[in-house]
Amino acid sequence: MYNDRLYADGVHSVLLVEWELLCKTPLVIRNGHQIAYADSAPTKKTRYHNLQLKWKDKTNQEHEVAALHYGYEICDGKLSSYHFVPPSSIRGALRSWSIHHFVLPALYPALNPAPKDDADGAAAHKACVRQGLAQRDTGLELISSLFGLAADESEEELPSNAGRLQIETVKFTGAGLQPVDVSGVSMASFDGPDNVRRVMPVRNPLDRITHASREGGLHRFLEVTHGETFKVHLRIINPLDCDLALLGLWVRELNDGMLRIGALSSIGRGRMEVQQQTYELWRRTNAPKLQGCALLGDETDGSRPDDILSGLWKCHVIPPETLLEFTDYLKEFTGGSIDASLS
Amino acid sequence: MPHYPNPFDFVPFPSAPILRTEEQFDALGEKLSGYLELEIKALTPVHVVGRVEGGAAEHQSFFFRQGDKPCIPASSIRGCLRAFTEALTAGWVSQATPKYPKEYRGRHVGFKTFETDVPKQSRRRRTSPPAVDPAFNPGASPGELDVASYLFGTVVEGKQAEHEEQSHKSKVLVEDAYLPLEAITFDKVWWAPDIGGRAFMGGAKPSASNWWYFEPAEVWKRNLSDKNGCPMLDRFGRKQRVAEFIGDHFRGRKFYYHQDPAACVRMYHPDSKFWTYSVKKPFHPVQLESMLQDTVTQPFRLYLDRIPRPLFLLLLRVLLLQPGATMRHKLGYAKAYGYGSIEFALKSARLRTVSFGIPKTLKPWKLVVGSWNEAALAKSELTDLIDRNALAWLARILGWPHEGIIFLYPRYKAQEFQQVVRYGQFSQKLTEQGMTARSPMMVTSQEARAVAEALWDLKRPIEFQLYQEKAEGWDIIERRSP
Repeated sequence: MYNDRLYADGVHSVLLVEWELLCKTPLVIRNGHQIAYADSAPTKKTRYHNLQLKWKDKTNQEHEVAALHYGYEICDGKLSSYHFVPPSSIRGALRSWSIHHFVLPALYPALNPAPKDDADGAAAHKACVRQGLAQRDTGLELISSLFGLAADESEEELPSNAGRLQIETVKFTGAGLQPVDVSGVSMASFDGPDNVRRVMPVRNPLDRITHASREGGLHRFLEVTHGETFKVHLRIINPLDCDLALLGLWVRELNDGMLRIGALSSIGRGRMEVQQQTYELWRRTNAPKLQGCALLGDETDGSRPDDILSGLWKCHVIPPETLLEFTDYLKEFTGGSIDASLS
Repeated sequence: MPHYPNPFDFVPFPSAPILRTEEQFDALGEKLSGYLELEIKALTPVHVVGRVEGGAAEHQSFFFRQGDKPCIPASSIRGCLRAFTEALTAGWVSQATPKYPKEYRGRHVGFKTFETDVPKQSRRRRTSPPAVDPAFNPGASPGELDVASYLFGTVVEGKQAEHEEQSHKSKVLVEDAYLPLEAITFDKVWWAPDIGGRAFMGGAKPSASNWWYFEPAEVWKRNLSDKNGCPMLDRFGRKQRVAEFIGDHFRGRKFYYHQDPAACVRMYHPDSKFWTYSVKKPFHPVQLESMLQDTVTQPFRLYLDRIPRPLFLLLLRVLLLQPGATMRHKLGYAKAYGYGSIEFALKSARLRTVSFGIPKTLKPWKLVVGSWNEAALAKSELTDLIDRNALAWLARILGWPHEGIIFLYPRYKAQEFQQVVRYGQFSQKLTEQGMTARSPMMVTSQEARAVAEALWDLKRPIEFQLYQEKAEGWDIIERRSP
């Protein structure tokens, strides 16, 4: 049975992962806001003249465009905005991929607590959590341990814990003013984030019977141009052998385009390439050994002299190519199998 | 003198959509994931609208670009594949304008696509039946979905909160197809006709008061009135009345025929003397920066996410339309004038079978595309998922090669679209053919055809199907098969 007291023996090791992700296709991360742009085209039959993107609600003469996610920071005493990929987008994509591959669909109700007014849903949630955590090979333990397990106040008897995986992202580092591209035309952007190259595509579904634009179907959105890069930091506390295999699979699937980040994957958005990747396992001297410790690199003092753990814990640098060698541990943990009968 | 066939035609709706539960689709067979690497080859110039610049005499429409690269957007490719799949598999009508209200001096008969239209106020109160059987409205049958929605996903609008289970994520992911810069150019013979200051020429104007988009239902005697609403009188002081041809249901899903664009647009040029333009509606061509015929896009990927084998085999057929190679897809702008004929070429495939647990590595697969004959469809377990009548119509409309047939819209002139059929003429022509005009006059499709035949010398474009069948080249079109 699953034990939600993940740190009963304390924190004995931390795996620090750094990825640099290259957007092989455009990336769409929405924040739910619609902003405005103005087009000074002289007639209805022309378009894209003196385009101006305004980071505010539209007025009568302007058009709406779905904004690209951004945040705020204070620089030199001034509030400024910047685009970044929220860690929740990365976490969501990784969790969703992992669930689809390792958790039986019958247990999906365990992964989302039901609304408070849904007694049947709450009962199903409880039953699935109990059933899913009774045995390790349901995959629920893997997800709960890494990504966390939420229980409602009324479900105190159910296990709950924060996940061992923590994710941070670094904002895009584009320098200088980055206009928005609209089919080869630059759209000036005022008073908004500009730290990454962006594109504004237009989508306009065609009515199947008339082949005209479907009424109300025209819409526009901002997206990060392909070719941009950003960094992701992952931290796994008290890592297990199966975590290393999972990391290797995530990287493989990201590179293959089978695991995508952000929205609109149906039109190919969000394919990534893991351009650079580093894996450092920091361990207390008396930390439990990983089963696959023979696959780890030599013990060093690490390359982070400023880190609080430097000099206290030892570091193993794990070569990326060894991650998939931990796959048998993941198989053992989840009961999953590798079918070698490939055609 | 024979006339040119209309550039579009309709794939008729079957009696009911083909629907299954998601579980039934899932159980169709072993599932496959991975991606196909494809190229698009232009068989005629292809234009996807990007920036448009205007001048006093003409417009210039540049090819769509993403960043600084010309690009066929993934949404256009998906739309092309999905529209074909919906028609082929008797699917829902996933994209449709929901209502066409009656408009003063505009649309005489209001209608709604999937609902009955009851006008609030009208001198001639007509309750229009749904233009499309509501069974084809996405989400009409809770718990079930069509093949296209299973493959391409669906969001049942306005119902997500109540029926979340009716939204499905796409299992077919398409990426943008980029073109090398040298593959696109302007050419003086690549243009589309347009009329200055008006809505785009050839723009869809579906009307229930003619038998063009609509199946015939009845003939009305309509009193003409002036802008003040007073009856218009002839020189003898009698009310002016015209025959109005009322339809009830859309004929089907629209697709455009393939043709040579240069030969087609030449006929729309004022110099051809075939098509004339007025001072009020001047000729105003749009030059189209187009992907050159016989050039190919850079390879792009189409991803599959857990697609059962029979539906994967269906998707391959939809994509590649082979081995008969008698059909081709159309994509982009100005399809009515011959632009946008394309074919997909499969470069490679990396796939895996799907099983629970650790996913396999993607491996190269060699793929063979099945044929459209019954034995091949049965072998692919697709027998129950294909609408044979739709396949026959798709083969006619999307038939390739185009064999030099030119398709043109009927002109706005006497005997064609401009021609008004006065009720007296209507009555007389019917009498000459041994029929009796009644008001209102409900008609079957055979009666409507006989009415249109009787009026043929007066006005040709009345009943769409008759107009097509009497056009030059129909015998060739009719013989086309998948």
